[in-house]
Amino acid sequence: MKASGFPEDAVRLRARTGAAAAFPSTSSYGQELFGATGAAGDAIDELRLVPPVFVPERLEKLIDLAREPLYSDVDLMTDIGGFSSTLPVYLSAFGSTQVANSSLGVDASRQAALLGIPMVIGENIVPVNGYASDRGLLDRIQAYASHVPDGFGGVAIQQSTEDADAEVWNLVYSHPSAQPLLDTGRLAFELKVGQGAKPGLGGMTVLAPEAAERVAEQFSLDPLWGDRVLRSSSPGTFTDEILRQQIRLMRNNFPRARIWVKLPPARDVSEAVRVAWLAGADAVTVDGAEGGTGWAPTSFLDHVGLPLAECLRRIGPVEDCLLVTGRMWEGTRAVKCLALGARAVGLGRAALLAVDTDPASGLLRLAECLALEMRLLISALGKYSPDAVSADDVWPSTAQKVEVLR
Amino acid sequence: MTGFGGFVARAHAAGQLVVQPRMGFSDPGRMRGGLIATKLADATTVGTLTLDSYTRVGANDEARRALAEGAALNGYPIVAHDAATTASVVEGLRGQDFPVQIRHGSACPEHIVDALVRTGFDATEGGPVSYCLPYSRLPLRESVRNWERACQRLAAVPGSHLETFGGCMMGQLCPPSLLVAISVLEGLFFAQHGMRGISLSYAQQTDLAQDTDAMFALRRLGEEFFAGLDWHIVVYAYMGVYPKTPHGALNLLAQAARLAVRTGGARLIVKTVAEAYRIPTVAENVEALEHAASAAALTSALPVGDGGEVYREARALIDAVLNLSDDLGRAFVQAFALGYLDVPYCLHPDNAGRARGHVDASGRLAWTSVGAMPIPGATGRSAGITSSSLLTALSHVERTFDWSPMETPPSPQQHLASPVTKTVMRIQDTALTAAREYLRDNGFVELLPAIIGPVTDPGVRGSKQVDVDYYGHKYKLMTSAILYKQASLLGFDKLFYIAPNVRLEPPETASTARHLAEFHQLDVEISGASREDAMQVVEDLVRVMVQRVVTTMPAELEQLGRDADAFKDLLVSAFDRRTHASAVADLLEIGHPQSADAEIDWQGEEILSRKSSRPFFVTDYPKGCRGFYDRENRDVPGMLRNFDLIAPEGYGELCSGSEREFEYAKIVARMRETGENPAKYGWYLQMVREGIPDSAGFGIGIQRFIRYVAGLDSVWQASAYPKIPGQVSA
Repeated sequence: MKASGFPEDAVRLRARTGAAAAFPSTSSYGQELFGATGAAGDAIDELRLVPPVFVPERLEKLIDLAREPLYSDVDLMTDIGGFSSTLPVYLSAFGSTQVANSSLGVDASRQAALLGIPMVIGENIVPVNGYASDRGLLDRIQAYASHVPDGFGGVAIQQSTEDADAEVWNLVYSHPSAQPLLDTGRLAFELKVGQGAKPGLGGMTVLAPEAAERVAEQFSLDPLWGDRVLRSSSPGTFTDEILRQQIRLMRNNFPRARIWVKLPPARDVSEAVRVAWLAGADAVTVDGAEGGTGWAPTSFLDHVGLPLAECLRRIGPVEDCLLVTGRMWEGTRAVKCLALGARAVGLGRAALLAVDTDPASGLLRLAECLALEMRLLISALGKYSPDAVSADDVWPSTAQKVEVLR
Repeated sequence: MTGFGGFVARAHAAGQLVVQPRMGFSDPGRMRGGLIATKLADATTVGTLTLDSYTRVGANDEARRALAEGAALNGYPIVAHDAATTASVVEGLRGQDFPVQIRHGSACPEHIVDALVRTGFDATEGGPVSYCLPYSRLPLRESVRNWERACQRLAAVPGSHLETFGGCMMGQLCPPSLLVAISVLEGLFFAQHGMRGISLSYAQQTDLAQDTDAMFALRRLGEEFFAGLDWHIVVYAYMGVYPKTPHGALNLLAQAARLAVRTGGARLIVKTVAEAYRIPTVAENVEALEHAASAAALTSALPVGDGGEVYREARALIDAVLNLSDDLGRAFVQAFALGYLDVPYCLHPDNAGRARGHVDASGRLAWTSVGAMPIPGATGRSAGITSSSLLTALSHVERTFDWSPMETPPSPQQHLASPVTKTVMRIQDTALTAAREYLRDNGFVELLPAIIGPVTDPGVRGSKQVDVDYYGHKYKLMTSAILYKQASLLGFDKLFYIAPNVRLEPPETASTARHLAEFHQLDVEISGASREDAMQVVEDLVRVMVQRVVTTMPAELEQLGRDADAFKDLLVSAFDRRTHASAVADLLEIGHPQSADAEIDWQGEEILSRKSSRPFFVTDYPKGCRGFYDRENRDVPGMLRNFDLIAPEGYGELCSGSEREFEYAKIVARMRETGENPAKYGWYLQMVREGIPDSAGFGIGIQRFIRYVAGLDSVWQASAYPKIPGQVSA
């Protein structure tokens, strides 16, 4: 039988494998990173950065320096959620998927530290990998703390609903190994409300049956594949009051830590970021629908959640610390996001790929290139710090994109 | 040996540290009272007459005028008072068993020395450099001449004794080698002018190990230069910016006492808890003397060290000065003119002012710049000192001691055998007996508490639960009895436990004097009760327990130094009630940064606590700082129907309580608001879904309560088996 013009192959795959077909092939698990597949790029990619002729801020810089400013005069130092960062860039969370469980997580931590940029450690690491085990939370904290320069960077530790059972934050807050970070004001806790690649769902990993059995009390398990099991976290139930009170409780219980919140690209994202800031969050991360992941249903990757450009449009210009992630790897996308209201951008898949390319220095080199591009672009706009760029600096390519900036 | 030096030598030989206050009142009666209290203190003491500022600068007429007008001076005006008055102050007190020393601070001391000799004293303190550079604008040359004559006058008195103040100078930020050198050089100056009884001083600085070296250096130099004379070393408790918390001040003092004993110091000048704020009272001085003596009694001497780097630097400074002239007075003047001696941060015109000191990363004093001082191998940092780094350095000791862990408990054997522990445990027994009787008389049933369960109180403020492996399942040690208390309402309307709790508090709480990782609560729950009902029971219970202790154990309270009058107000007046919002407003008004939607922080609670003379309630805490079980006010969303009871005198929180959430949907929503995963509360939620009574209840922290009743410095003293957060213990 033939059915041209109809996704015949996909239907036949489902007919053969059932619910397992809702996901990518498990043979790619742990080898591949997933995300939206739109090859042509998204609305942010279509924007252009547009330098002006008249550059009053360059004149200010000229007066300051007593010589013509160059791109090298751009100062990229940025306050990210209460931490001093050498760049408006941080290392995004990798969760407990197999990709991040490898030594890549520790290598990435070390290099983020050397760069002096903050790092987020993802959810479910403690319940799945343990605290002090190889590649567990402690290893990553130690790799970071022993390489970070004085006065820069910081570590944000996620906790999701299931992590609450393991008391990840309580554990870290009272553990001697975290005290140097706490004492220097460089520890944050990030409340994970959701993520870009699968908004509305919790974290997901694929486990062998024996590994699944160990976590059966904490997580929901679904035997989708003959030899593998889907392990799901709950997305957690939030109302505005629940979000507000959770943030307040975090501030109350951990007065010496910074409080971060990570939101999915939800339709009420603008309301949610404001609830978070009003409740006292030091930073709110919005993960656009273009965001990457170690594992997600294919339907979510291309069809669920707002694009990052639309999230930024709905949130509008803000003074508070807004962090964004989703397909970040080079300078133009980063500078456009800063222009549209973000304080800094997070590197996720790009960081893992860089460390996979060279475990010793891959991320250092990626960041070196990114920093140079950012300096070139920001100076071309006649500006010399990341917070100086604004919506005036980008141009929508089509009338439709005018919407993006409204 | 007779006189002052002889008394100190005999005490030293007997293994006792002599402790001495700084104390001076212009009123003769009050001065005598101070000396009597010093003599009667439970310590080996010598008395002090600290002189007033008029007398110090030679303005004796002004001192007389002030006395005639009845104005209080800041010390005893020994010149202005006639000899008969001074004789009456010390009559029957001063003697071989209680010498009294005159302390002043004058660069023109001759009239003072005349007056003290005339009135029968033979011991005083000072020095041509140490009493001139820090305090006076008088040229050093003149101070030297004045002190030459003063020394000769005093040396004529048999058994007379003179202490150099050279070990203190500006009080802080002077690396120890210079203090040791000045102390020795002034001692040599005294000897050159006939003194035979000399004490060399050293003021406690920022780092115990460095201070230990400095004391050994001073001791070694004393043996080298003062053989054949009657000499000893006196330690000054820290002379810089003093800790503001009682435990910080007491710990710093105890450390000074230990420093003295470990290194062969014979005498200690104490400082008091009040020092950071005002001139201390007699009672505060006595407390300090006894605290220092008890710390000293538990300390033994270290093997003698060679003084290390401090000795080498000090010896180089001393040799350089001695080489300038055989006349030490002239050598002093030249040494300061050449910058061979250069006191950091001293603004006297004769001081070169090129030397700078700082507190290094390890907490030791180090040279930033040595100027022209002949200190071998000192390179110093080149970086300048900013005003903020200077302020940070000046407050280094204050911050370290205010926020340092409380002194740790001794070994279990020592702790359990200590008379203090035994008395405190008997007070606890009495209080709990009274509580049980009261509760039983009022219809409460005592249940025995659960120890472990699949879930426990999620706790607050960052404390971690303890996991227990229960047949392969993760169980918890109870952090509080709350869930089982609510469950027990199904069988009992009014119930109580004396329940153990384990909370792995953050290590920073080790220094609050009020956190233990293992503690007990008197936990009460009342079916159908309102918050106000529960508060009444708390108030009655506290009063009943305190009344029983005050009535039946007055001797024990006295033994602990606890003034029974502290409870006068508590026993007769109702406890005040105030809201969290008003407490926050008060704290903000006095400049304490208190968040309106969080728990009142420990410092804030201590501030409020110090303003009250009896326990008081704080009610209506905001949601977001308490567990899910405290009931939200249905009329004022976001506000809880709860309360804390705060003890007065800085002891802080004793008890938390509340009306309880009991409706299933409310509890689930509140669990989410506190970040909890309802899945793990299976048994509890199932029970709540089927219906539990509404209730109110509370838990009184037993060790905190006993700490308050017994007036203890720290809560660990109220536990037989103390576990301090972050510390490994028995």
